[in-house]
Amino acid sequence: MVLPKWYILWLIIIVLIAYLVPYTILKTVGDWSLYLFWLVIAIVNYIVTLAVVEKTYTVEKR
Amino acid sequence: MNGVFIYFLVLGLYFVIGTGIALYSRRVGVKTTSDYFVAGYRLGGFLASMTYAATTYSAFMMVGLVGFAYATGVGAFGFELLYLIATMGLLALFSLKVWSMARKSKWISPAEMLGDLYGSRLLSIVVAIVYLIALLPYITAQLVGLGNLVQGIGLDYWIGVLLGAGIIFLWTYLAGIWSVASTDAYQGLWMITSAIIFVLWLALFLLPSKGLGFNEATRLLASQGLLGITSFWKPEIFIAFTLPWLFFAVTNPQVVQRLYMPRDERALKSMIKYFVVFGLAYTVIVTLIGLLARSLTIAGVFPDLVKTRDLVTPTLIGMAHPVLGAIVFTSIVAAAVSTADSIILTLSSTTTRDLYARNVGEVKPRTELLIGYTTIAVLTLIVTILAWFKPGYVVELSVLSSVILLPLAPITLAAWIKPDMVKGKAWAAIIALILGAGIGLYASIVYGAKKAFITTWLGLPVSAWILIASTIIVLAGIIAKK
Repeated sequence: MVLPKWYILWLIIIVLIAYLVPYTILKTVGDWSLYLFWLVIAIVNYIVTLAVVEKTYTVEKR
Repeated sequence: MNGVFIYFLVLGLYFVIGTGIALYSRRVGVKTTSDYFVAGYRLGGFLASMTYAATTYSAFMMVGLVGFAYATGVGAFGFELLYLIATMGLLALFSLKVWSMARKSKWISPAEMLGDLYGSRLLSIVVAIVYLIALLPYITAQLVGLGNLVQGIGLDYWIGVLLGAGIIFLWTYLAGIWSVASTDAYQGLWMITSAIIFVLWLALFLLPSKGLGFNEATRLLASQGLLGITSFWKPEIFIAFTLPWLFFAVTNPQVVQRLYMPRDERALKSMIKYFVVFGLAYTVIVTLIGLLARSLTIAGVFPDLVKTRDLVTPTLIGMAHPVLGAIVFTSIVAAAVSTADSIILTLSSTTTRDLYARNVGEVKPRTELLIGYTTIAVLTLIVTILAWFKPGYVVELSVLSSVILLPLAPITLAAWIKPDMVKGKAWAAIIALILGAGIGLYASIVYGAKKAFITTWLGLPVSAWILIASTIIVLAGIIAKK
């Protein structure tokens, strides 16, 4: 099983964005944008992760 | 009909169905510890995903996280979602490799896995002991949650504790992982369904009945800054809360063990896919409940529970129709039971394998199983006594377990990434584990369970220091010559 290296980089970037953006751009919002930001980040990461899992795990299949 | 009677009726229904499922699961025929603890490596995709989800999501969600979102705002949502984002990545990166190694090496417990990868039985023993120390507060938190919940409907705290302990013991004992996984699936469905109904009731009935619409609730929350980063979520506090959870999928044996169980790659993929869907939905719903409840408080139509945040859900339940209240009440019992029985089973497996069977030579399968049964009974008794004394908040207790387990992150990841490089380097893993867990325990003794993980040293939380120290030691071990 060889996972694409870009996925590791992707994960690091996603986690950093999830930490940094709320403490800079969205710190004092007065609507649901911070909530939606975290939700969208999680959903996008889910879609990418599923694509990676689907491709990688199928290659490995006997 | 009397409200409390309805609660007991629904709870009785939950118990009867669950016990029926647990008894039915015995048909698979448990003969060995492999059958009893890891389902003989033949768990289907549905059961694998639901047991992963129900084990992960505990009473902390509906009791602790609702209160947390209520008291500290949207930051609580970010804290929980960061766990899920990290877990998706860790599962994608490592689950197939671990699943494959586990069936090749016939691993039953994660302590056994680490001992094998590092080539040291002593490491297995040390890891097993750390699991026992760290996870007792985690299971205790589930029973404390149940006690608080029962208090919310006007009964004594100890009734909730004893009720939970009894169900946990029965459903674990009956068929090991088969009864745990099948009741987890049943309980997971109960948890998510009732959470959906509960948030709909809150948004579409309770809020309007108090004269609040969604826009007004948003305005009230914004007026208190609860939709942004509140003063509670200072950057170092956010790191302190999230860091142990980022590595939860690697450090907590009850979830690591679940990677061994799927019967094939397809089941493993289903496990990841459906667990994340469950996690996302449950996290969104639970935090919305907390935030909407807070808007009611700001509007002056709901008690101010900021200082007693674990009572937010019980208070809301008390305001619902008894049938709805009973269903949600039972879902929290289910969440607590499904987490606690999984952990107790995992601790039983590690005690049986790593502290007994692998150290005494040849052991008959029947004897090994008997040790497993006995451990389940003893552990249930210990956590019941601990819960009786009600130590600290649910949130702090749960996170503290992961803080103590945090040094296992570099130890485990190093072994998963490069198994050949860690062979013979058990000394580094043992030092890292003892030092890391020691720092966590020291902090908990000096500052108390509530403060231990939010305390900072030189601007960094204790959890960060544990991770840094254990990573350096593991890396030094890998670099050092034999």
